[in-house]
Amino acid sequence: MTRMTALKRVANGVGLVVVLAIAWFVTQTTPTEEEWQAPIVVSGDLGETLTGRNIEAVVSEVRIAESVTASNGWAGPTSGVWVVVDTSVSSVVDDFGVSLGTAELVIDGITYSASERPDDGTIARAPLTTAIPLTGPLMFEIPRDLVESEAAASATIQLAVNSDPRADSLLAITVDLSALPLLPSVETDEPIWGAL
Amino acid sequence: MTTTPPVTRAALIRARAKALSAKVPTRWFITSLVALFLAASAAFGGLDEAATPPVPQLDVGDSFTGAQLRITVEDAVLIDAFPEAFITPQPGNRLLVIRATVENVWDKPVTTISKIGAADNVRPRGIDGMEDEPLTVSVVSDGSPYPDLQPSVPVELAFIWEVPNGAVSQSDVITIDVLDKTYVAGGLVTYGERFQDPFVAAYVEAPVTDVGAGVGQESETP
Repeated sequence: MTRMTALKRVANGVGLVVVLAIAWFVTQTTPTEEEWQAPIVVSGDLGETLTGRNIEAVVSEVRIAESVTASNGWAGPTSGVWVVVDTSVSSVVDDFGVSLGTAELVIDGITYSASERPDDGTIARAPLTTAIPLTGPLMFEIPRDLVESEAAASATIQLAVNSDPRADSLLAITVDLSALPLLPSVETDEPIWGAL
Repeated sequence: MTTTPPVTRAALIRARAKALSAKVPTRWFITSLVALFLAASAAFGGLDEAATPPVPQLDVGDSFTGAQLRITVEDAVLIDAFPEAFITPQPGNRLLVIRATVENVWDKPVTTISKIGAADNVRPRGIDGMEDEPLTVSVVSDGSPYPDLQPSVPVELAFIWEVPNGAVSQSDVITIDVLDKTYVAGGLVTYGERFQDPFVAAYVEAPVTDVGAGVGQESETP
C-alpha cells in the first residue's frame, strides 16, 4: 500500500514536469503577431521569373552609378550612389487598385525604398496590370561607402503589390552589389508595357 | 498564592501603546509616514519648479542629431515664387524658404510629408500670418516634392512657407526651431514603427536674405 502511494507520487511528479515542458514548448513556439502577419516570401535570383499571389516579376539587370538620367530627362544628383534595377512586373489575379507599392532594397537589415524623384522615369508606385508586364527601372539611393562593404554582397530587392505586404506575397531577389562596377553615369529606358 | 509581577512605569506605557496601536488601522500608519516623507521633501525644496534644461542654440550650418533625423539648417531666403516648380503664393504673399540638409539616421526610409514626416521637424518661430505646416518640402537639386529620405543619405531640402508680404524682410534675423520626435512601435489598433509628438530640441537664429524674384536661389548661399 505504501509502495503504491510512493509510486503514485513519483508519477504525479513526472506528470507535472511533462506538463510544464509542454507548456514551455508551446510558449516558445507560438508565432508572434509579427510572424503570423509576415509576408510570404518568394525568393529567387536575377533573371528568374518569380510568381507570388498577385505579383509576378523578373529582375533583368542591376547597375550602380554615380549619376542617373531617366527617360523623362530627370537627372537628380545624390550624395550617395544610385542602384538601378531594371525589372518587369505584372499582377497575376487582380489589378484593381494594384500598384508596385513595395519596391525596397534591404542591405544589412537597413531598408532603402525606390526613389520617386524620377517621377515618370521610374516604375516605383506605378499601377500594375494583370498579365501585361510593366517594364522599367527602379532607382535606389544608397550611401556611397555601403557599395564596397561586405554587407553589399548579399543585398535583397523586395517587390510586393501595395505599400503593406503583410500576409501577402513578397518577391525577394538576392544580388551581390559588391561585385558590380561603379559606373560614372547610367541612362535608363522609358517604362513600357510589355516584357523585355 | 499568586504573586503579581511588579508593574513598572515603562511596561505600563508599552502596554498602553500596544493597545492604542491595535485600535489604529495600519493604513493610517502608512499614510502618516508617507505624509511625513513628503513634508520633509517639501521642506528641502521638493515643491520647487524643476529646472528644465535649456533648448540649445545652434549656429547656421551646425547639425542637430535627433532620434530619427540629423538636421543642419543652412539658410533662410525670401523669394517671390518658384514658377518652374509650380509653387506660386497667393497674391500679396511671398515664400519663405528654409534650406536644410537632412539625413535619415534611422534604418528605414522616412517620408517628408506633414504630420508624419520630416516636414514637422523645422519651424520658423513667431512669423505673423504664416501657416504652421509648410506649403511644401522639396529637394533643392531637382525640385522633387516630398521625397523619401533614405538611411544615411543626406539630402538638401527646401522647406517652403507662404508668408504675407512684409511679415519678414531682408536682414531680419528669424528664429528657426529644429524639432525631434519620439519613437513609438506597435499599439492596440496601429501597426509598425513610427516617430510622433514633435518637440523643440534646438533652435537656430538665421538672417533672412531677400532674393526678389529669385535669380538662382543657390547663388545666395554664403
